Amino acid sequence: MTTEVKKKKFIKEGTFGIYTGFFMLGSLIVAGLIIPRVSKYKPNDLASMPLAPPSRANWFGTDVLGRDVFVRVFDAVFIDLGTAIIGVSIPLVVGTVIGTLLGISQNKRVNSLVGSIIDGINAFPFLVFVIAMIAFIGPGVGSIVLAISLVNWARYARIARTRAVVVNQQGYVEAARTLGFSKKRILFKHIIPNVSSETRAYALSDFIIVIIAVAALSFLGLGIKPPQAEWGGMIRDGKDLLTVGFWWPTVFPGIALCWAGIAVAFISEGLTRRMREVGTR
Amino acid sequence: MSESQKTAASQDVKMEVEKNRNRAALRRTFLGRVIRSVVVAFWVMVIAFSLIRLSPGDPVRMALGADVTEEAVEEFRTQLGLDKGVLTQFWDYFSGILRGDLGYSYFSGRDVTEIVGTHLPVTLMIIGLSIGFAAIISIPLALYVAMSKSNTVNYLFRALTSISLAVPGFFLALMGLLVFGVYFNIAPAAGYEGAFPANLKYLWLPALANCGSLVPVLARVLHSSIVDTLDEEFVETGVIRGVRKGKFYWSYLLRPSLAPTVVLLSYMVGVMIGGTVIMETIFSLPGIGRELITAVDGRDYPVVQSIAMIFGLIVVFFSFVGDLTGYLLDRRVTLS
Amino acid sequence: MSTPNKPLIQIKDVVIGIPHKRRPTLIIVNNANFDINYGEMVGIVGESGSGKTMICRTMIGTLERRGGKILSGDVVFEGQSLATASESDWKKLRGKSIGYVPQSALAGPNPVLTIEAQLAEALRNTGDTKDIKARSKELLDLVKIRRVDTVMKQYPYQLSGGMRQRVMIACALATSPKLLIADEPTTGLDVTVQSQIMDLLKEIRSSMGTAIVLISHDLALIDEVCDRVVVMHAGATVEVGSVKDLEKPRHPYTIALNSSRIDIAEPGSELVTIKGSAPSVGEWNPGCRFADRCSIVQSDCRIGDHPALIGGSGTHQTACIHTELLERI
Repeated sequence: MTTEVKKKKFIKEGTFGIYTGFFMLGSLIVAGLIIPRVSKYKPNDLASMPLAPPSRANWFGTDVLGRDVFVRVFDAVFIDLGTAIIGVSIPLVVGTVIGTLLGISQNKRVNSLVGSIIDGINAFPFLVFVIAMIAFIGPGVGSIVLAISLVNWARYARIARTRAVVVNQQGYVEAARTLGFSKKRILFKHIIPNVSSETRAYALSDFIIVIIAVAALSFLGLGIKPPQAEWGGMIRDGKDLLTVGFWWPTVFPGIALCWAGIAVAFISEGLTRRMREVGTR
Repeated sequence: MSESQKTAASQDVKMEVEKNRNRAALRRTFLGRVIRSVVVAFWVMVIAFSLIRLSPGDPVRMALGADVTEEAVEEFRTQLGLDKGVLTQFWDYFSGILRGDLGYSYFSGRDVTEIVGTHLPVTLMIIGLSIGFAAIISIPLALYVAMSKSNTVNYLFRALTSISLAVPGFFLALMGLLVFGVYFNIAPAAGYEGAFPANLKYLWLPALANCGSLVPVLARVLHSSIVDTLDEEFVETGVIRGVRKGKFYWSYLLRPSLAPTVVLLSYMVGVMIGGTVIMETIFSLPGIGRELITAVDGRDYPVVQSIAMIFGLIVVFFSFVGDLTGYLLDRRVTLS
Repeated sequence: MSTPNKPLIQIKDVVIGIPHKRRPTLIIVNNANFDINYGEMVGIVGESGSGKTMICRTMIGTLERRGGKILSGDVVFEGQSLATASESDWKKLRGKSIGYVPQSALAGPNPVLTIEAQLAEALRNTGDTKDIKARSKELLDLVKIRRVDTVMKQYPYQLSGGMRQRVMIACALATSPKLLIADEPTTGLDVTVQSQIMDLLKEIRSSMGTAIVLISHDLALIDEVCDRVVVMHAGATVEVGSVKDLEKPRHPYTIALNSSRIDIAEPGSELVTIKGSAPSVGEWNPGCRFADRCSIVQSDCRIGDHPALIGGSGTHQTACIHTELLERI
């Protein structure tokens, strides 16, 4: 009987957050797929008078060039989410592998050298490092992903290394070693899966930091180039008009950006709670 | 000498030895942490130095544009010192830093040390204010939620911190500008005026918006830390001992909970320090962050490199201060 | 010290539960009954989950902090009823007339304060703030800590477990309490340190006349130092008597506890463990809660409420209704 009660509680724990998050993210992606295709306006075409307030014709109003904000907000879904997803995935994979190898490596010299580099990179404020990189490699989507990957792998590597040291001493790894399995097999079957559960969990909360950074770079004029609709860039275009009463070109893309971040934050929170629930049982 | 005198004397000696040992341990941990900071700072310098040299593509050619002669490119390379051997370059760079010489701005020709010297105080002030605001908001919030037995309060806290984690600082700043600058008209949208108390008028809103990235994390980490502390037996001993309320909250709840918190926070402080770049740009504040953006736009490589390095050193410094604070709050926190 | 004839603290039919918003209240202690006299050293013994810690919280007034509540019955300390005592009433008692030594020596002292600061806090609680430093040193002397001046300036993590527990005892003694409650004070300490702490408690009892309640799951330990024993099982007191009385136990649970003791087991004989495990809180069947584990259980053991202590006003009381069958065990 008691197990039943616990099970019920287990299902409840975090589920609401996960569902809400997936619903928010899903609806954003669906809207991003459909709206730019079915709308009568094109993202970069003149839709109406410049700075027309929200109306039945232009739900989110128009921007300073007379483009429809509604279409532009949803046209930007894929570039923003996509850049962030790639910007998280590359460092996740690279960092996990490097960190794991460091964690199980016996070579002290390599360990302390790479460890120092990791510490050094991690010491830079994330955004500052990316901005500085962009100064040397130029703006654009590719540059953003490259710059983010170059700084962010170190974060994952640090987490992976700490975890790998622990996993490496765990009973099942020792057992596999005694059974004479190949090093490669132990690494990929036993160590990496257990290390990556930790880095993958971190990737979710990192996604929020990265998507904000992508938008922030465009906001600073260093990211995705106009006329491509992009939330940070749209906020940049609208910000000077904000204080003189034209709020819609800024507020709507801002809400979309927050929406995406909050969706992932809810999923991450829900999953963390669920994992903790599993951990305590 | 009688037997008891002997034991007393030997006890005194023991005491002296122990005292010295404690002091030595303290000195050793402190020194160890300083050395570690210096090592990380060195690597920060190395990485800042490597950025331009390891960048894919050719930053020099990119800076000059497509239609320049080969001679012009080579001349610029020489000017940046990129034609020498890497070790020579690094020696020039490193010894320059030690002498306080960060090179010259390619554009204005100004001394980079001078640029940093003029603009750094504003940035440090924003960082300091942001940390202050974050503490003022997070500590009471975390304490209140941890002490509250209400499920609704806990649920709201989790939901709201999740949400505020996802709100970008620059959007928050613009909304703050809309509300406080336009609607209430109590914050200037841009501009800056020199001396300390007067400049707060320009700094409070940027700092408040900037701490938005720190507050949810600080509040959460501290909250779970306090919840853990509340389960500790010594809290009960404190209650039984009848410790005064203020002292109880500080010595029995906050101090043991804050210690691990401040040590954990250095990464988020790094993210927040990066946010000052954006705040300085939005509010036109003359800090090194705005100088960084100007330099990036103008491909002023020596300035970019130096400011990036300075930001790295600021984070190294703050994480040192964080660790030290943690140690002073609770001696069990290790510094290595 | 004049010792009135009345007991120092009386636990009368106490029922403790944890109220819950949606689910029914969870009863943790039901039928707890015993007295403690002035200057007496009493051991409370029982398995984990038997409610001994809850009883101890009731006597120190920290029950509500942990979500517990006295549902019925009363706790009377020197004629004052404490079942409905307010927080401010408790503030006048706890840490003053009633001292407390926490369970874990390692987690008991506040890690961020020096020993001196913690002793000072305890001493300030007396209301007398003069000569705190000198009095602190006296307290440390009292609990036989040497190198007092060094220890005063140290943090708990710099001391060994035994030293920390001595400090905690010193703190509890700061206000010369009439009753000292020690909740498994030697958990996590090694055996030699354990016996040192026990000796210290015995000495304090005889030199200061403090009544001491020692909570433990170790009957051997209690036998060694206490005058009387209270045996608890599944939230009820099942047997109360002097250490001498308990040599001839009158409850099957006590007999089982005795026979599972390592210290008095015949060499070479098989060590007896108690059959089954204690019923979980909230899953108590009607009648005697030991029935399912009892080897002499009768059909009438399983009806009605849990039996009350019988044996009248005598010193040896038991909650077993079939004491005549005990010889069969």
